[in-house]
Amino acid sequence: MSDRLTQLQDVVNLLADHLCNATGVLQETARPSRFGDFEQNSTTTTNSNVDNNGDDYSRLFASLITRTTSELVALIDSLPAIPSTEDDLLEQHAQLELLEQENIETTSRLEQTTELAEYLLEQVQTCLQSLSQALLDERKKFPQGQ
Amino acid sequence: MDPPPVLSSAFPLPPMSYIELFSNDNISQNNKILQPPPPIDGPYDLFGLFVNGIDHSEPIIRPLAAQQIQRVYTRPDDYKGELKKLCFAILTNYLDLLQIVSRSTLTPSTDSGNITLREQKLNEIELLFINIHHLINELRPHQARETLRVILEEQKQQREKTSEKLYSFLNRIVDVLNSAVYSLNDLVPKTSN
Repeated sequence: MSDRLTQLQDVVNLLADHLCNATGVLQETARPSRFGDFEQNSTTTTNSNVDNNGDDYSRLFASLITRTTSELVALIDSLPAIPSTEDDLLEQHAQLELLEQENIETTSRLEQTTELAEYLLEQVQTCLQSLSQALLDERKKFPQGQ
Repeated sequence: MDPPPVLSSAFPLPPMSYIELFSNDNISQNNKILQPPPPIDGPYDLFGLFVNGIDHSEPIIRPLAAQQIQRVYTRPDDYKGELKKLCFAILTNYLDLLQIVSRSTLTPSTDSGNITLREQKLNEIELLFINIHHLINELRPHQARETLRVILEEQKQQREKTSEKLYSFLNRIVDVLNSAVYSLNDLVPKTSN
């Protein structure tokens, strides 16, 4: 799922493809046109533009092109508001700088908390060590388990 | 002693002369670790083609369409309106093209007798497409800035949450330790001096 601008570009290219294909196919599959007053042998040919296989390419391509265009218009409408004036750009810039500042502050706070946590960890470890040392000493003094 | 088992893998070995620079001893000594080279500033060679470096003075992200191509849309402020206008202009021009092609292909155009009407109409449609793509590209820097803003917000939220949680854990730990110490004080009999 690509972002909206890429989708927009893809739909524009798709529209161009449809236009080119439409002209090409219609030109290839068109029934030969009649001359003005000139009598022709095959006067019994039907007047419609339908192909031998019964495919109506013009209708098909018309629906494809209109569908692609409505997709394109829907995508354009779904775009968010875009800052175009200088003020909006400055505001966006200021927002970015503010965010960066806040980010730096939160990082330093996180670092402080981490340091505190590490210090506490050290303290607890020394306590545990001294406790276990004391326990061992006691057990050595009274080896009978008193 | 047995020789160490030879590792066999599907991939070729990495360049050993490069890897040996980053051995554990070297890193722990901070001994002349290779830094990645800084990005190149001037013109450079890309697959045999010379590419000009990024010029920081011009707004390179949006090169002007007025360099070689005529700008068709009138106001760059109202992006959505202009995009829609261009889209419908493409359709109407296509209908004109179909009409020209179905009637006669070789009529010279009224503006300039060199090219036929059909070619002129084709050029106009091409111009419209180029303009619509250029307009979409002009939105890209804005998209980049918004993405940056969202990323910064997310990072900030995550860091705040982590530090909050860590802080609350630390408080609980301190409480537990304090209560343990107090209960220990109760257990130890008071020594008389």
